[in-house]
Amino acid sequence: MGYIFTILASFAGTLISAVSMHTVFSLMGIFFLGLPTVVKISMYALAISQRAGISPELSFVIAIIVALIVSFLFALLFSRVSPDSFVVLGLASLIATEALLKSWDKVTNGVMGITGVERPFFMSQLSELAVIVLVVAVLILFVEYFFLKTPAGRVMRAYREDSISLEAMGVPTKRFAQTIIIVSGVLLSVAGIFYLWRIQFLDPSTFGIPILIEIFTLGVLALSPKVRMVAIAALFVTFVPELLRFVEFPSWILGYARTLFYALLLMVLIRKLSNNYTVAKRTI
Amino acid sequence: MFFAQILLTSLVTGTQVLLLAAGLYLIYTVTRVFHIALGATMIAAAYGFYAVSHGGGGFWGAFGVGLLVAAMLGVVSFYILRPYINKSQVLLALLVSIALGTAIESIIAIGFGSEGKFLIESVLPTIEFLGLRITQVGFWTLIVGLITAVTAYIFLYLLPYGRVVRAVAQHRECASLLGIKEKRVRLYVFIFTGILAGVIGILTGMNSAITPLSGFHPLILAFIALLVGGVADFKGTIVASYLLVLVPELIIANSYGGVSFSASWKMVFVFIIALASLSIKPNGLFTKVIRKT
Repeated sequence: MGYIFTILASFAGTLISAVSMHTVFSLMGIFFLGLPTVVKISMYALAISQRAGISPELSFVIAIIVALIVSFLFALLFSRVSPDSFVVLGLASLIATEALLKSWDKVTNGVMGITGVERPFFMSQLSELAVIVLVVAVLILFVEYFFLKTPAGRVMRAYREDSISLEAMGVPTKRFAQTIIIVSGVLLSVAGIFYLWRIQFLDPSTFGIPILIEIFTLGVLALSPKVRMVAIAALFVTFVPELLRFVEFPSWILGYARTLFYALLLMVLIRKLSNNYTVAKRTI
Repeated sequence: MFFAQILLTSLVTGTQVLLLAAGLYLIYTVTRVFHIALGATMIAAAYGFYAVSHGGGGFWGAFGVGLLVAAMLGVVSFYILRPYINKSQVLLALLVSIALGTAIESIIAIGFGSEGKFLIESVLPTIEFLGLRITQVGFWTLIVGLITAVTAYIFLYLLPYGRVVRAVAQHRECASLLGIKEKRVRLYVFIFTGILAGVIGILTGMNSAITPLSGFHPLILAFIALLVGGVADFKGTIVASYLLVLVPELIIANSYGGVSFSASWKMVFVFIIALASLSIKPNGLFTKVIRKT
């Protein structure tokens, strides 16, 4: 039973991550590689707040505020530097954050990490956690579904295809992109916090490059503007690697095998779906 | 003397960063793609060296195999990235390159394990002069850096094929019209940069322990150097490569008391420097802003 609730919570968390990637990458076409940095910092904010004696509920609020601030900083960076620089700085932020978390051991407990992160009282059992995460994930999915039908949602769908036309129509595209960066950062942080409450342990290597590959696999799978693709992407990314559990790999290989699987899958998917990503040239 | 020693150590590390940045720059100029998998290529060459040298293959045999692995990965990278390069989907190519790099690192980890490996297991021999100390590997890094710089300059600016490479970098359609086989030029650039990364990987592995993921850190440093220096200005990259190594070293060496920093803070300072520099000069340290219409 524990396995079922674990996989259910994992699927729900992946669904929230998929919505985050769908908005920022699949629809807007922004290569926000600093996303794991936002999540990692917000997770640490939660764990450190709890260590300071703050309740899990209030720690959640603090973590979300921190996610907002860090995402806002990335949004500012987005408007200052070129897309290439934004990508590379996002990657660099992963290493810099890991170095900071490892080095500032008075606050973060260094490489030892923080154990025993408490869950809120209403989700102290894994089954309760799984149900709540699933409800939150479905709610977020519905919000995205209805949002995409609004005028702002249409702007979001049009942004990747022709941002210059949007600008000509008076849409503040840069501000819109910055808002989406913040929203996706906060959404992925919510998924990260649920993940943290599930495993109740955090160290500086959590949410590194393997997670980056995993979330971009979600983004590429959900390239279509349809919300049902988000759910399908989350189902695929959660359940297909579970098959590796039934192969007789030594436990230390399993993590690398999973990362290898996602990396190869991402390459194949991009190769197959890259034509959908670029706008078809209209012939006159 | 203390400052001179830091300067010398930074010169060695900065040369490693610069050589890697030179490879990235070459690929960028002919494809407009940031090739992240170059870090994995670098470390794969070091593991190739490790496998042969520990199997009794001798130094030069191991060195040759290491470079062969790097060259082969250069070819593989080229053919994997080619469809995106042709369609100018540079950011997708970057994503594919990250995935390729991660795949190579995972294969290395599955094959060799994730614990640190030493290419040289004895104490590193050092050279002393004027009271300064440098490892022999460090000394060879400086020599390789110098040779590569001179060779690259002669090749790119004095030999006819260098002109061909520059032509493809400037305008690939025009180069094709002139009968230049631009795909072949790009393939050669990928092989050359792969070999260059392989040499750096082997030299780095001789200086310190290697793990499957240890190519990522120097690669990001090289990328930051390239961006801070300006992707279109290699002089800026040269200055940035050394500055990004030297400034954090000086901060750490001069920190004491309540604000002392360990060596593990280096990357944090590098990131802060990069953020500050790119916010003020987004086009590079010495790049002049061109007026836009």
